[in-house]
Amino acid sequence: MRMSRGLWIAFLWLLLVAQSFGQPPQCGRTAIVFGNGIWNDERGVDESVPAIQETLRTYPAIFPAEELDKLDYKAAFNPSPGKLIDLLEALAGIGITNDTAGWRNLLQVDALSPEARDVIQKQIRDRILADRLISIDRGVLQGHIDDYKSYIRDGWKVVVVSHSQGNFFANEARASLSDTEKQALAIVAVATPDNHVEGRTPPDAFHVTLFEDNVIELVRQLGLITPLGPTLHTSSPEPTTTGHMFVDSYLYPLSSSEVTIAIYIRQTIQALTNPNCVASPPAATSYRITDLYAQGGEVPFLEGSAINNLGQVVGDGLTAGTPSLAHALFLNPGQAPIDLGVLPGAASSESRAEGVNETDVVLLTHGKLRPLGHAIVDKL
Amino acid sequence: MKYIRSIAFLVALVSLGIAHPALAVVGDATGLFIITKTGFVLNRATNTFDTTVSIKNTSPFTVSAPVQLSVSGLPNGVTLANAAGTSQGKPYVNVAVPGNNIIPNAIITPIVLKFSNPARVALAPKLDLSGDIPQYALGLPPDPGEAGKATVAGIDSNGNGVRDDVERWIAFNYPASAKGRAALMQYARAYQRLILSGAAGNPADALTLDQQAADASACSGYTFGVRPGILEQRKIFAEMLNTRARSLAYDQFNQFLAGQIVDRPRKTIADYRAACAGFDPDTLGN
Repeated sequence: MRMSRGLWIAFLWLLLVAQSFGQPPQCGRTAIVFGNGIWNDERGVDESVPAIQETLRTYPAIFPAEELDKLDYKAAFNPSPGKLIDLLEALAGIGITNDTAGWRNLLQVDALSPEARDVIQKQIRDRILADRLISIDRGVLQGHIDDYKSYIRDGWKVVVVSHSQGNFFANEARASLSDTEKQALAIVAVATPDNHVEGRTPPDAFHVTLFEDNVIELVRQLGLITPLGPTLHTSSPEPTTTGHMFVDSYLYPLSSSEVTIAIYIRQTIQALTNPNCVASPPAATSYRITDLYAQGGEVPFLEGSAINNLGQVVGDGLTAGTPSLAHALFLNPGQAPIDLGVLPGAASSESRAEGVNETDVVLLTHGKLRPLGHAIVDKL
Repeated sequence: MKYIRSIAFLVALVSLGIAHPALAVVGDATGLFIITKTGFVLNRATNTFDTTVSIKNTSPFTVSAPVQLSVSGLPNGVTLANAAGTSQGKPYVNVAVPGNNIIPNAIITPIVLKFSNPARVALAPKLDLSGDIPQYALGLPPDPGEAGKATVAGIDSNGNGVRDDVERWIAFNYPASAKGRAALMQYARAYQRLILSGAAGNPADALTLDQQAADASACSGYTFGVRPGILEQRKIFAEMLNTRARSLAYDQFNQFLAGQIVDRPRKTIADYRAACAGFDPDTLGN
């Protein structure tokens, strides 16, 4: 197959860039990894990943085209042996003995009868109790961890969009990473039965659970674990039977949950940095923030905060007294973010074009990206 | 004459690039019928071995006259004594069709076949039907019935990688969309491979099969739209897994993938279109 001239040029350009900067090959790119739940088997993944892609395309204000181009998609397969077969068996117990009819019920092709809904709920409850919620296969988990480490070494940022039981695997996997690796991987939790999102602190847990999600509510009622609370009501005019399905319930087109998931993915990408991709600053050049101001005279997302004209952030706990919460980043188009260190008065270096002394600055706090506006920087 | 008119009309439309999928043509309609016959009885008046044939239209289509029942597989020296003619080397009889249409579930009987069999050898003739049917229904495989559920693989009599029952279901349920049928056939083919892999307990090709299934899903997404395509995929999936053995085989295949992170590289609309194997949904026209 012939490669087009454009692709050759792009390829050579990427090669040149990679060699010039000594960066891993995937720097600047993000892997969106879908972590499947029990209802998201092979078939489910085949519909869920395209649905995520479609969702991100739907909101250009959140994901401009140039940002979409930086995304790659993957699927992390988690096991659920026999779980769906158990549901088919349960339906057979009330006379739905034809597997085609059983699958059509489970996949909501056909409307469920109240009786079918009850046996599905009972089966889910029984399985949760029998399994003590869920047992994590360590071999499976290690496979994921190895892959995540590999992606991070290659320069990717990794956003794991995990659904249902996939959250147990995603949380465990992230917890197994080194602190450095954790800077490059974060989770957007959808319908999580777990009681936390690894690396996140409420209220910034980046999880979406519908009030109408009967499965998570069931988990809560059984008391084996206390899942994170619901965050949104469904916008679907016809809520699904379980309220738990990734595509039907959570990515319902133009729903509040869909747009929230899109925003969380975007914010997560912005907040991540892959340490393997941050360029080493030239030793001879360093900069100091001498003036820092917000666009439009306001600081978005930082109520109660203020920034003085020396680059000092005051209020909202973002002072020099809490240095671990505030980092300033230079964002130069086409380059990896340069961490300037802790505000205020951060001194560091970066690799901007010579002579440019004004750049966008963002602030990282609580793992979130908070745009601050512009900074005037001077060479030391 | 009708045959000639139909062909001429089809040629005209194809030449304009606007062939309609529901266009009726005369051709192989065997797969749309259940054909049964009685045992052979020696007719001493005509010195022929006679059998009475019944045909039942098991499709959702109306099959129109001319309907012909052709015979093949005859031993040397055996002929169809009451043949009305020969088509493609096979003798045939014309089937009398009341009102010129065989509607769904209609049965036509008796259709008598008389065989001249001087050597009185054993007969096991193969019977085929032709009629005026929708173009896309040409050559559909016959209904496998319960025999099609006996094994995980089922029956794929035309060897196109899709079980006969599923191929018929697709044809019967998507009469208005050639590209829809093509996309769902690709989906069914991919999942058939995947199910067979699970049944064989062979994880060796799991990642390849997974990618083929993802491609088929992407093609469906391009053909129907991502969200509408999901519903159509679910319907085919449910037809594919119509027995517990097949459901279990599918469940087994899923375990092959556990612990792996696989690429889902389709990103652009063009990527989705390119995922269609062996056809371009944009040129099928509907």
